[in-house]
Amino acid sequence: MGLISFDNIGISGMSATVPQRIISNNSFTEVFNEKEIKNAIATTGIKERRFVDSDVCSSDLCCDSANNLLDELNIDRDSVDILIFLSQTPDYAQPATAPSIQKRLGLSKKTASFDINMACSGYIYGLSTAFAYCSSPDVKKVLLLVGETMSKAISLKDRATCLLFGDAGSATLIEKNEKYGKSYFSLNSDGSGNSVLKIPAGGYRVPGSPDTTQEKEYSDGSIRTDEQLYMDGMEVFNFTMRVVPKDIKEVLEFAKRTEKDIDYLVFHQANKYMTDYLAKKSRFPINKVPYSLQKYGNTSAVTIPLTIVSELFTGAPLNAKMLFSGFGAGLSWGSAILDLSDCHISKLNELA
Amino acid sequence: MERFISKFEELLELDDGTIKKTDVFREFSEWDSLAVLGFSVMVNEEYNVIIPKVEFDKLITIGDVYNYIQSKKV
Repeated sequence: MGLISFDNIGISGMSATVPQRIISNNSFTEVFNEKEIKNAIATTGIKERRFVDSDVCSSDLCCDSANNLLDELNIDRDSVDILIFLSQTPDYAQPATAPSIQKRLGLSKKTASFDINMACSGYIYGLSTAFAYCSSPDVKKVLLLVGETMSKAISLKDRATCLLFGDAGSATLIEKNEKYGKSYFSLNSDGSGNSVLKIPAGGYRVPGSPDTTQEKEYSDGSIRTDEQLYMDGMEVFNFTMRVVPKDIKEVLEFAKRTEKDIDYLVFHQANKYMTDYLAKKSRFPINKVPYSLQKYGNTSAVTIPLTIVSELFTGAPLNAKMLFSGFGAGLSWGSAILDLSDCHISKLNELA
Repeated sequence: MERFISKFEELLELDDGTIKKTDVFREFSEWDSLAVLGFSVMVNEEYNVIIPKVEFDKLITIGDVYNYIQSKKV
């Protein structure tokens, strides 16, 4: 399929929440020497991240975002038709987390609630799902919650991942209105790259066992268990260079627009060196490319709404022509072009 | 080849003339995971080539990399 467009569906509001606890990359002196840390920060752009305490889940961050957004927009909680929770760090292996969030937010029992499991491309997938539901004449409001506690999925002794990831939650409200006009999505996948970014064990293919929770040391000096995230940085990087500029070109052509018609290109926040290069390849000037990764790192699918909330918040409604680009594990990638029209942006909240 | 070597020296922040065609690039202390990213971008930017990891793992010397790129260049 690849390309999909929608009419008169848009984002009426967005909010995001980060945990209060700051983890500085300069503190990783047991894994790297000082020069390595300095180089890593210079290249990735990531200075610090936020980590939740062990008793806080993605759903908690998302509920905070959702409560703030619904209150600020004065939304009747009975009026939310669909609740989508997109995360790879749900509360339980079973059941889905979304129904419990329906209860916690005080939404109607008529709300359709379900989870989506997607990685760094997830915001584009979640948005397109929300837009598709909202295209039905019977649906008026879709609440998309995207949250991740990556800190619980990585090893702090893994050289490939320990300086990159952080935790955050977000809420996006999707509604119909003629002012939104047309929006355009490109959605793609390539399962041949399934193993380059993966937690190999702890699912049902390789169930958790004493062996999979055993720390193992690898040739680069990294230490992790099979239930922690593995990343082949070079392959992920090559994949991104191969697909992202092409995808941006395709979605722009599909929308009959050029980079001049876009106010902001919001990338999934993975590595500043890489996305600067991708922006350059797509001929976007760097002042159209906001970054939040220096403060929050890679929060997987949350990075796009988090960047908008943390970098584009002014207190006034946001009007801007946006291009979103997400890419990551799966492998999976996608882009979206949409116009924000009087979009309410909440102030970024910190959860104690 | 000279241009490629000079790009490689620039990437690893080494002085001009330090690198030879027969050098095993993984033995340079400057060759770390970030240098790999810089290398990928350099090869893509200069030669419009992306080297899959399975192929890259087979390349040992600077000369091997250069020859590989030449064989793939469009």
